[in-house]
Amino acid sequence: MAEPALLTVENLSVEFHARGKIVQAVRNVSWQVNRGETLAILGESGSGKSVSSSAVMGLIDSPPGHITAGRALFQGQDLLTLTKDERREINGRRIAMIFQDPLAHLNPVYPVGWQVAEAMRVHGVPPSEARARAVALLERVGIPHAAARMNAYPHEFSGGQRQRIMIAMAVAMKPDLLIADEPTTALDVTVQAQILTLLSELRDETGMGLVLITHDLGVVAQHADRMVVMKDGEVVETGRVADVFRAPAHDYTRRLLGAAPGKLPFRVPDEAAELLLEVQGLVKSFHLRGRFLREAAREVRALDGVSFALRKGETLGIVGESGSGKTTLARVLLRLMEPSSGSVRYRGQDVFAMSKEQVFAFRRRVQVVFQDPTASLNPRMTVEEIIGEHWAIHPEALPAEGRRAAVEKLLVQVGLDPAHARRHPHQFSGGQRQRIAIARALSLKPEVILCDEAVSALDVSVQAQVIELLKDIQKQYGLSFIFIAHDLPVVRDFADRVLVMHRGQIVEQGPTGAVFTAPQADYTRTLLAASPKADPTHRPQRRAGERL
Amino acid sequence: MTGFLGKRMLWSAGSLIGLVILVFFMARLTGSPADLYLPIDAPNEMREEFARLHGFDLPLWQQFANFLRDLLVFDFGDSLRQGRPAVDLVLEALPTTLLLAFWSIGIALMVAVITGALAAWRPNGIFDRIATLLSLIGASLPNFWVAIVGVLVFAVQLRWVPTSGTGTVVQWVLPVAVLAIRPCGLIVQVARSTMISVLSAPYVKTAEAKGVPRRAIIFVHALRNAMLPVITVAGDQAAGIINGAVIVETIFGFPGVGRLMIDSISYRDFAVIQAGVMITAIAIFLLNVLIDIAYALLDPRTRAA
Amino acid sequence: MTKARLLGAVAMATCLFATASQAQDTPLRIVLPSEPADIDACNTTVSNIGIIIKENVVETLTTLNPENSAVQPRLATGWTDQGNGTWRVTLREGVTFHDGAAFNAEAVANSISRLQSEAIACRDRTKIRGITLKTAVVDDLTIDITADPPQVLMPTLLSFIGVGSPNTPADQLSRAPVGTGPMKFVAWDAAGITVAQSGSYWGEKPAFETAQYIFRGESALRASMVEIGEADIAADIAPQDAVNPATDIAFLNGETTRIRMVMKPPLDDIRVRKALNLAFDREALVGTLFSDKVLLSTQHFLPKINGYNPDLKVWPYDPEQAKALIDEARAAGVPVDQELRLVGRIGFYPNQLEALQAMQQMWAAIGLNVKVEMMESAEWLKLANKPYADDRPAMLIQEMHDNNNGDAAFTMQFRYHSTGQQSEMAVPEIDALLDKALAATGEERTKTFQEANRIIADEIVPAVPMYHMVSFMRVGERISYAPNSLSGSLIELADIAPK
Repeated sequence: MAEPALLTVENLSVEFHARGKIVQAVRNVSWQVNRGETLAILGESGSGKSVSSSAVMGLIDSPPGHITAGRALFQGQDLLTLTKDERREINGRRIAMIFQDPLAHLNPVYPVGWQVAEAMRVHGVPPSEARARAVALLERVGIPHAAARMNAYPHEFSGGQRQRIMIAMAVAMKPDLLIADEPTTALDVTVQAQILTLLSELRDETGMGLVLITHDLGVVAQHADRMVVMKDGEVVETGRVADVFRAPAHDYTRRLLGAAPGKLPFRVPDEAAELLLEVQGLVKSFHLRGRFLREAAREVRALDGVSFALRKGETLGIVGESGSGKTTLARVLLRLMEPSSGSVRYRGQDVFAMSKEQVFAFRRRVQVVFQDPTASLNPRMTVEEIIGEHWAIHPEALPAEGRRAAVEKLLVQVGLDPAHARRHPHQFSGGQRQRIAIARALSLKPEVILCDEAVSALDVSVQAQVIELLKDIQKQYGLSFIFIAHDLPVVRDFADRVLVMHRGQIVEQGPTGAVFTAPQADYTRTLLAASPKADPTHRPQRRAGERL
Repeated sequence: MTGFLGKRMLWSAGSLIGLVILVFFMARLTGSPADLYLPIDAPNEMREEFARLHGFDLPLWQQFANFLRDLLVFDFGDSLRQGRPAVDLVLEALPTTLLLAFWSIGIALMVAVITGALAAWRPNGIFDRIATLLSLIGASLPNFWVAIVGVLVFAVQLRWVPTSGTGTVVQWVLPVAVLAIRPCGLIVQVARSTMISVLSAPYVKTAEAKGVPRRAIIFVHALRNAMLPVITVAGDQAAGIINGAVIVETIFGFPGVGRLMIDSISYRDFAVIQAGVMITAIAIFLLNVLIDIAYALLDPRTRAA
Repeated sequence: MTKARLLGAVAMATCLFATASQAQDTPLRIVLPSEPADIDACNTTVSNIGIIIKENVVETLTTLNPENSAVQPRLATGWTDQGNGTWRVTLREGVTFHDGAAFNAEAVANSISRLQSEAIACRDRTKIRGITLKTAVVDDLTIDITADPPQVLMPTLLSFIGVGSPNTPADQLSRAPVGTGPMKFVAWDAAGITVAQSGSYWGEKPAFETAQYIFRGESALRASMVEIGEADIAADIAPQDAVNPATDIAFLNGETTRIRMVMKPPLDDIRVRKALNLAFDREALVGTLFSDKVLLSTQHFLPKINGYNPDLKVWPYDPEQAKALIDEARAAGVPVDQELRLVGRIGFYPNQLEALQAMQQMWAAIGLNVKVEMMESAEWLKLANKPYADDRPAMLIQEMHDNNNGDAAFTMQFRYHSTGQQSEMAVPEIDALLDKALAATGEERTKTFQEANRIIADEIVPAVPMYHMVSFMRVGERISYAPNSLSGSLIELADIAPK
């Protein structure tokens, strides 16, 4: 394209002052985006990928952040030096932005129609016209019964719908540039695909530029034209997506691409191994009280007849989106919740008919690693105390004298420095915290570890490392894993068998290879199609004019 | 809505009855009020006669049984001091107190919310520091001191307002102002800190990205979200005033519930104490219902519950 | 900013309007500390009721001269002792009640029977406790009143009897009294009690058309009201608010304070009781904690009361001798180290707590163990009245007593006679003297009371006499009024004149 770039960021440097220390958020960052194209800014957490966009929008709070150098040229103006009035001309009208967590980013006390219309009202559109256009926008982004739902509140919509509403708000004034900061990270895979497609369609309709900030290689590969790779506040690589994927120039890019799952052969389950866990016809219903005057009371079946088995030494992957029942299943398996009907048998014994001593023994055998290591580790305890807590509860597992040595051994095993045993969780990174959680789970030498979305909150490269660790300890101790995840790629390289859950039922079950290459159920197929592959050469053809 | 109110009423009725029974026994444990109504040198026969006249010579359980029987028809008995039905006395005093509460909390709320919001606009700026200082002073000053100083300065020295009384609107200025100072100080604190935390909420970022002007961000987007804790504190303060802003009522000569209750307690006027407790408790129950409604209006997420 | 100015302007304008209208025929406004429960004609002896209605709305049969307690005619013009406890009382002619009913013997008989009725608790009845009054109408203006037992002080008793209209309901205390006085009751509402000229008064009309009684509990506020002209008289203001000599008047109010001693060990020893008196520096508290207008007292009522002994001397301040007495008692085995509770009653007089603390220190200085305690009225009354608890320890009880009724009988019977409701004594000699005095008249009565007083003060020492108390009243500049010893419970509107 011979046109001048829509937005050019030149040599931007931003620093943050916190508690006497100065942190360089981004250093000398330059990128540009053109009309009608999608630029992806790819980076892991801490890479500074959102900072340059926040600076462009003027959203960096001036203490503690300072823009120390650089320019952001947009249609002849340097956006970093705007007055307040000039800024209001730009924001929402010529450049718009959507954010990661739409529930938190929509004002909970105002109706969505009002909020969408506000995007137009503040730029001079008369209220009645703004309202009419808001209805049209909501329809365009795919909110059913848009006119009726204008007065509904954000919490009354699903996650995907909320992001659509944010998109409607953003494109209301037909901006020249839309910045999307991790727009789909909090959403289910199938919804993610829809949202990204919507964004691409809007881009084509209006010819606006789109900046997509993400950590997901698949998203970049499927939806972006050009990309910028960031690490530690610096740009390490730029170029057309196809080029970068084919021949990455920088080491870091190569590592990132290498960490993407899907390279290894499928694992094969061992049918002869001992049966550990048998789940039969598990049902769990909840009774919801009706909302005043609007809905009658209803019964919701979170689990609707779930049956499967787990053998020794195998990894069972359970994949489902939100509302599939996988979280409820995890709670029931851990005996944190009683099912409405059905049975769970561990080594032949009915888990829910156990005596107190039997339950106590059961807990030693079945351990868990949760999703959010920040929440599951007590911030006031040291690492040693956290790992050792299990021995305090089950003193027969290990006498007190041996504990310190055992802690250090575990830390080494999970790849951490044993000298850090007396530190507190906040002194570690996310991936390291998850390793601590794994060490804790290992401390009682269990037979089964249930990983409830254990790697979902981690960066891609860290994810790969943690999964490697899990594979190692599985080999070492003959452990079984129940690995719960919300999308398929992550279990591809680690699971022997896969269950796909949808609306409380298992829609597909089988060895990983079979599920991935020859899915039986429609839903599995949809799920597979929705997960963006980190391969730009296999983009689904976008059918012109079709909407979601 | 009716189900919600009905359940609330049932719960409250239980506590109300428990409260009145408690007051019944506690008051009577202090002995016969005869001594307080008769002059010091009244002979014992007079005291006994007084007790007989008002049923204080009966054994306690019998007094209680009579009390319950009368309670069923909402008869709290007659005031010992005035010989009129106790309920009448309380209901005559209640409007004054309710008006005092309404005006003082209303004004305090308005002033405090705006001040708190403006202070949060630029935290640690000049306005914020002054507002914080004044609000801390306001929340700490004792009522009676402020009232007397208010009278001495504004009524006696400056002659801007009359000293006391209830007849005209201008006579309410000083008492309402005195009553409003402490709640205002407290609410400024709450409003300010809630606003500061709300202003760092993600949806404020969205509004900035939309190009919403700063004033609208503060007063439209942030303020409504910050109101919930403010309403809680305001409701609490209002309940305190309904219970009886005794000092203000005494100093300014307002015939409100607070003064009535203190006098009744000093004079062991059991009927009025019981009626007063009951009616005040009902008023506070209604206040809490109002607060719940306010919550539901402010935050649509609570309506679903 | 403009809003505040506007408000200030409005407030000012309202005030100017208010002050302007004051200059014309505005009601006389009297601001009082406490609102009474009722204003019934049979309660005129209660000070916060009498101060409003006595001799203004409701008149009594006789009144007492504030200077010398002489009995003066009011609704009764003459009285003669017929013997056997009967007195023939002549009534004033040409008097009508505010509701038009005629004032006559019938009406008086009605009032007296209502006073003694068991259906309502008239407080004036305590003034005639133990006495039954029967009436016999002789003619319209003559009535025979018989007292059982016969009363020497019948004329004084007549001053306790307020006469209300015969139409007054007999089963309820009235909040809208109908009497014969110069003012009739108009209204009682949130603003106070209003009375206005009745137009049909038999005597000298007061100078003001209407009078309004306003109630404000806080002394500083009452004083401020007079200062800025919102009221003309502020009754009972605290000494610290009485700072303007031009308007603030101190007057003896008929109350006398003393510390009563419960005569249990060590207070059963007269040396200890004398020591307490000698160690108390009365002068030191005058002008500091007490107004400089209070008088040191020697006995428990004022000089104007019949039976007052003028020869009694104030206790000297002699801490040395006090200490010597205590040591002597200690040596004799009296438990002088026992803790003595010094009990005050909240609300008696300003600075009471400080005064008690001062006394405690003075007594501690001579080696006694005194602890100050303040009690609420109800609790204090339990201590002060018989029947006393059996296990009462030695105590010092603050008392304040007003006798404005002209005769020592109203004090000495129930404080010093062994049958007295608040008496700590059972001395046969005193009982005999008091019985004699109560039955006597004239010179003999006076002398017998005086003798009893002397013995009590010098030989029994049942108390530590303190002061004849004063009250402060603030009188506004547009009127003139001279308070006297009765002004704490009687403000006759006829005595108030505009300047």
